[in-house]
Formats: sequence, C-alpha cells, structure tokens
Amino acid sequence: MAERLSNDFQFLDVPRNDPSKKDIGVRRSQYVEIYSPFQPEQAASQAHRCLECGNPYCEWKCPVHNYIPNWLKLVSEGNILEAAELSHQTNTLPEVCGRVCPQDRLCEGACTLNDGFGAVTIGSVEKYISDTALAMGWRPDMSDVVWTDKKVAVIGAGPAGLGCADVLVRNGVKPVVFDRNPEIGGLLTFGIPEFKLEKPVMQLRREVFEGMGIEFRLNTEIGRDITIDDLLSEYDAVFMGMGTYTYMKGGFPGEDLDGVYEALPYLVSNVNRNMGFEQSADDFINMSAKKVVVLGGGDTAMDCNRTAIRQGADKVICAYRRDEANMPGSRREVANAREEGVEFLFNRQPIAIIGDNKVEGVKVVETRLGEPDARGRRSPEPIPGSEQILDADAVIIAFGFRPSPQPWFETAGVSTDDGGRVLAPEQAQFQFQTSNPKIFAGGDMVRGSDLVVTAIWEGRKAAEGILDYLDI
Amino acid sequence: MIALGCKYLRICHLNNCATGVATQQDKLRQDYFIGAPEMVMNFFKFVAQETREWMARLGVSKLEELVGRTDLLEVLEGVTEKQRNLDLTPILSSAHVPADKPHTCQVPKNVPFDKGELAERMVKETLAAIDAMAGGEFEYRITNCDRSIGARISGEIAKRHGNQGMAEQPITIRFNGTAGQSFGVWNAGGLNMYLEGDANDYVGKGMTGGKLVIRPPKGSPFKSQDTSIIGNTCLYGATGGKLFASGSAGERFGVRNSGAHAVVEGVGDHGCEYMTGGLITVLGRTGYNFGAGMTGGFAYVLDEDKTFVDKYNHELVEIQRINSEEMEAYRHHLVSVIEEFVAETGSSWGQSIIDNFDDYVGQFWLVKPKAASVQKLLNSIRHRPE
Repeated sequence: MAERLSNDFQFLDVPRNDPSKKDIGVRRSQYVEIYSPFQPEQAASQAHRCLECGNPYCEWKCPVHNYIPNWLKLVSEGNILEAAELSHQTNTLPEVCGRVCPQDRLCEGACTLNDGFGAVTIGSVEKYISDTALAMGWRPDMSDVVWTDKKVAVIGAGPAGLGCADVLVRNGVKPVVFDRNPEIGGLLTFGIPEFKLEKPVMQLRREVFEGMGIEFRLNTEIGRDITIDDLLSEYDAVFMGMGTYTYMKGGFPGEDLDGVYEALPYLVSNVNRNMGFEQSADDFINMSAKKVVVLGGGDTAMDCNRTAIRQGADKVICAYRRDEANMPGSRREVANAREEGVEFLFNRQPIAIIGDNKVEGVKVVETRLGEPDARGRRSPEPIPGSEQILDADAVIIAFGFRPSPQPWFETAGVSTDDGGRVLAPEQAQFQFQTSNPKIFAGGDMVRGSDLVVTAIWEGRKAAEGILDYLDI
Repeated sequence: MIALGCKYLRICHLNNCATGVATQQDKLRQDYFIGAPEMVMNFFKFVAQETREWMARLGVSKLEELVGRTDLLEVLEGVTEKQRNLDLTPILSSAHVPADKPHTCQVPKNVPFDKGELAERMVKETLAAIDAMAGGEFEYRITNCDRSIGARISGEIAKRHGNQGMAEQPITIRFNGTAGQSFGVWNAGGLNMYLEGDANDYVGKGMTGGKLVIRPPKGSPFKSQDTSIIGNTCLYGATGGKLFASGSAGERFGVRNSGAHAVVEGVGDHGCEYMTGGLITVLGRTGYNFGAGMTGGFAYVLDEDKTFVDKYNHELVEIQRINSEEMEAYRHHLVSVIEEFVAETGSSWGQSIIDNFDDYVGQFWLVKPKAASVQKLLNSIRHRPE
C-alpha cells in the first residue's frame, strides 16, 4: 500500500477529475458504459479531496443518507472492503446508484466544494467501491444474522423490491421475490440502457443476493401465474414494488399514428434484443436511418435519444417545452447526449403529430416560461403564431409515467389515490403499510415515478415497517 | 460567521476552511471568502427587526419590560411522548422574584475596583514623548495589583501613530517588582518594557509589536531555567513583537500566536497550540501536547532529557534535527536568536548554551507544520501572515 494521503489542501491542489469517457465513435455505435473505471490511485486521490464537513451536505441530500464522507475517507486510505461494508449499510445497490443517480442534483450538487472548487466525484467513487470489492470476492457479511421462521413475498425485483428484500434478509426474514421479467432489476435491467448501466452489473448482483439468501421467482406475474391470495396465505407479509408503467399521453392529435412509440417499450425492445430475450423479431423497434424526434426532457428522454443514436438514426432531435435550465433530469446526461450528436430544441411544445397513416412530422409551437408555480417550476406558455413542423420518420414520447393499478388491488383491499398511486404512508405505525395490513408497498407505485435511489429508500423503509409488523 | 459565508464545516482547526472564513491561506481568503461587512450589518438589522415585531405583537416597547415576563411564553404541547412528559413550570416560574422589586439592573455601571493608577500615571508622564514621537526612558516600581500595564500607553501610541508608527523611536520603560495580570497586553510597536522580577498570566496577550523582556532580580540564587517567571497563556493571539523571558512560562504558551517571536527557558502543557505564525524558542522543558493544531510558524525546542517525542502532538506538526548539513542556515539562525535573548535578559543559561553550542545543537528540535516546507520556513517568519 502506498503511503496514506494526508493533505488538508487536496481540494485545492488536485482538481476534480471525472473518469475519462470512451471514444465518441465507440459511444455512438456500441452499447457499453461510456465512463472508464477509476484506477486505485485516482480513486484515493479524488476521495481525499473531501473536506469531511462536520455537517455533511452530501449525506443529508442523498435520499438514502449514505455515509459519504466516511467511505470517501476509507477509500483514500485504501480500505476498500471496509468502505464496501459501510456503503452497504445504507444502500442496497451502491454500484447502481454510482452509475445512474443524478449526482449533480443530489450529493455532488450539495457538496461544499461544488462552490468553485469542483465537487468530489462521489458517484464515481461509490461505483468504484462496490465494483472493486465485489471483484475482490467481497460479499455482504451475513455471519451475525439470526434466522427467524418468517417469510415475505416481494412483488417486483426493481430497486424498491430489492431494497426491501435486502433489509429483510439481513434481519433473518426470508424474502421471495417475484418478477414477471426473466431477469432481476426491473427498469434497471430493461429500462436503463447499457451505456449507463451494463447488464453484467445486475447479473452479479443477483448472484450476491442469492448468496445472501434471497430467492427469486422470475417470469412469474401476480394475477397471471400466481394469485395475490396465494401469496397472502403462504407468506407472513407481502411487499409490492411494482413501479409505474402507464405512459403519459400528450393529449394532442396524431398520437396513434404509425411510427409513434412510447419510450419504455422502445427501450425495453432494444435491451431485449441485446440480451437475447426477444420473443419475436417484430417486437424490435429500430431507428436505423430514420429522422427521429424525441418529445420530453427527462432522463428517460435522454435514454431514448442516445439509444436512437446507437441504432444509427439519421438525425435525432429532442424537443422540450421548457428551457435547458428547467430540464428535470441529470445535466450530465444532457451533456453526454449532446456530445453523441443529439440536437436539442428548447421551448417547443408539441401540438400535433402530422401524417397520413404514418408519421411525417411533429407540429410544435414555441413557448416562453411563465411565472414560477407553487413548487418554483415555471410553466411554459405558447407564443401565438410560432408554429413550426419538424420532419420525422419516427416519434418517441417520453412524458413520464403514471401508476398502473392492478385489477386485483380491489379484491386484496389495497386502496389507491385518485391518480392510481397506492396509499402506503411513511408516517404511520408500520411505515409503508397499505390499507391491507398484511401488504406493504413502496417506490414509484406509491410516490409516482421518481429516482432509483428513492425507490431503494422506500423499499428499505417498508422492510423496517414489515419487521415491526412481524414483531421482529 | 454564517452571515459571512461560514457553512459549518467544522474544520476551522485545519486552516483549510473552504469558505475562507477560518483560514490564513491566501488563495482561500482571496478567492472564496464572500463576506462583506454589510452582511453582518443586515443580519443584526434583521435580528433587531424581528425582535421588534415580536415585541409589537406583545404590546411591549422596551426590552426591559420583557425581563422576567415568563407569563408571556406559551408552552408547546410537544411532538413525542417524552416531550409531553416534561414539566416546564419550575423554570418558567417567576414566583421567587418579588413583584414590587425591579427585574433589571438599576445601577448604571459596575465600577471596577482597579482604578489603574499606575497605568494612568505612566500615560501622564510619557504622553509628551508620545506626542512628539521622541521616545525616552522611564522607570517604575510595579506590584501584582497593577494589571494590564502598558496597554494604556500602547493605546495612546496606536491612536496617534498606528500600531508600528513609533517603532523607530521607542519608549523604554524599566520596572522592578511583580507585574499583575496581562503585562504588555496589546503591546504596540514603540513600547519596550523591561521587567526585573516576574509576571502573572497573559503576558503579551494580543501584542502586535515592541518588546517585552522579563528577567529575574539581579543576584537571584536559583537556576532561571528551572524556575517560573511568567504565568499561563502568555502571547495568546499575539500578531507581532518580541518576548524574552529568562525563566519558564506556564501552560498554553503562544496559543494562537500568528507573528510574535519569543524565547523562554521552558513551557508548560499545550505550547504553541493553534499557532499560525511567528517563532517560539524554548531553551528547556516543555509540557504535553506541544504544537496541537499548529498550522504555521515554527519553533526550536531544546530537549535535554529526550522526552519531547512523547510530548508533542503528532497530528499536524513534525520535528526534525538541525545538526545536519542542509540545516546550517537554521543553526546560524538559532544562535542569533539566543544571542539576542542573552543580550536582552543577561540569561546565564542562554549564555552557557551559546558557549557550548556544539554540545547542545544535537539536542534541539525544529518543530514545523507538516504542510510547511523546510526551505521556505525561514523566509516565512520574515513576513507576517496577514
């Protein structure tokens, strides 16, 4: 081990250095992660820039409240296994969060050094810790776990379900996770493209989880292959983390034309092809040699943009109704999309999709931002007479997602609000308990579509609610 | 501090405050400190404004009318069960204050017992010399009832000529006796005070210039290096000037010193704690925790019984010998420092170190912040950090 770093002025002496990005030619054609991993010296040197603020803003901002300054210190000292153990105390999927979290809006945005020094590369170090430790053979320490005779069914192997199962199994409760897909991860596997999260990451995670005692029953859909009543009678409790899959419509004419696609089926079809899960070649949505317009400005829109580039689209235009500063997603991903050749049109609201039988263009109107609303976000208002038509062979709609309440909710006694979100309050005797005392829920299906890390948090908290409910 | 940009990083002791509030690092102060006096002014204006708003709501026009009025406070119900169990009535009760007696202090001022007679007499007798920038020599007897001696004169000098304005035409005062607390506090350039006897705590506190020299009475039979001559916390927060004391200092010597030069023959615990600049030479024993939080300046320590390694605080400073080839400049420097000390105090201990320097040089340590480079140390003490 090299000499331990000890420089109170590291943050001045060493600038923030993100891991290098791969060559743009590779990025535009291949489905590989675009960032190279940190080398050990680089990780230690970057981690050592942390000031260890007495009041760590990063930790407060992080939805799962990772012990960020503490594991940064461990990395700067070269104690990777200890860092991995600590990192897993608060987070079920640290290497995933290190890759897909919008750090610029969370920990790194809150970092004291973000004021003129360059924030600590928290996300890249977080990814480095778990990737390195897992590659070294580290596995979560389960030696202190005392097994109970309880078992809990978890519906959905996405971030919420995995977060819940992780906390349950560490407390000696047997989780059995059901998912309709052939691999775990939910949107992590099927929604988020490989250039942000390569699929072997989740496959390794599955191995780790199974080693911890979590059982997965894949290709199994509740209500089709097994009923909720079966789960309720066979298990001591049920957790639902089923996400939000109903896509939001724009409410303008032409949305049903041939060549208009929803974001998620588009992304899933591409992952299915890459992973060999494709049922039929007709399911594949291909943007090769097409003029593509993506509508929306969030992270999902960026994923669609960048997938279309890799499929060989002629031209990809992303039209968003607010300006760049008001985009909801990660600024980093917008910058990456732009580098890869996506063209952005801001302040454009779609009012119709044009074409006979098939898409020929998108009619947009220019907008300007009105006064901020109660949440501080400024709503766009159309400028009369500024209509324009963008030529398009295909249109991908990425306006966000709404909950997808299941037909069996009613018989199971699970209530939802008017928008279809499952009612499972965090502030309750048993946190995240639904109106059926035996059923808990968390993640997007409770809060509406949100970040991976918030879903993990809710899954973990719901597990604590379940443990209380089971009196463990 | 929050109004000036402090973000509560709690790293003030490391000199690397990223908001530039609690650091002497030039770049951080120049490029990252966002504070302006108006921010503090605004903060206090708003505090006053909010206080007035609350007072107006209570129908009260003077703060005095609020003293003791616990009946105006409402007790919140409490969020948790434990909070609800709290009985706050004892601390909210005003029953022990008679209703017909005043609730506030009715005496305009708490007149100090010490009338500062010697200090005032000294000002009277030196004022003409200060006005004329003439310098001069004066002599007084001093007792331990005479506190903060020198401060009044330093004030008169600084008011007329600035902190260092009279440094070239100094007023020299010779004392006999035992000085009370804070001898030479806030000492300005242009005031040199020589004391034959000893002094209490806080000698040279906050001093910025001039010279303080303390030596045992002539003919004292004891060994000066084994005997206390000044009390605790001397040179606290000093920014410049020189202090020579032929004897041992108490605890916390040179704490927060940022520019003063001092030579003493021993110190107690916590020497040079949080020091950010200046030079301290100790020609004898130190106590524990030497150099804790020390981020600037440096020190020479004579370690005859080879215990210093166990006594200094290893977190921020490191020690090295000065008898190697490349440390020659430091050896010369140390000799010149001790020579000046001997010339001022007549210390026989100091003289014997010079006479036998070859025997002692191997027992000296140079104490410096880990972050400071040996090459630049000597230069650095020639500039004041601010």
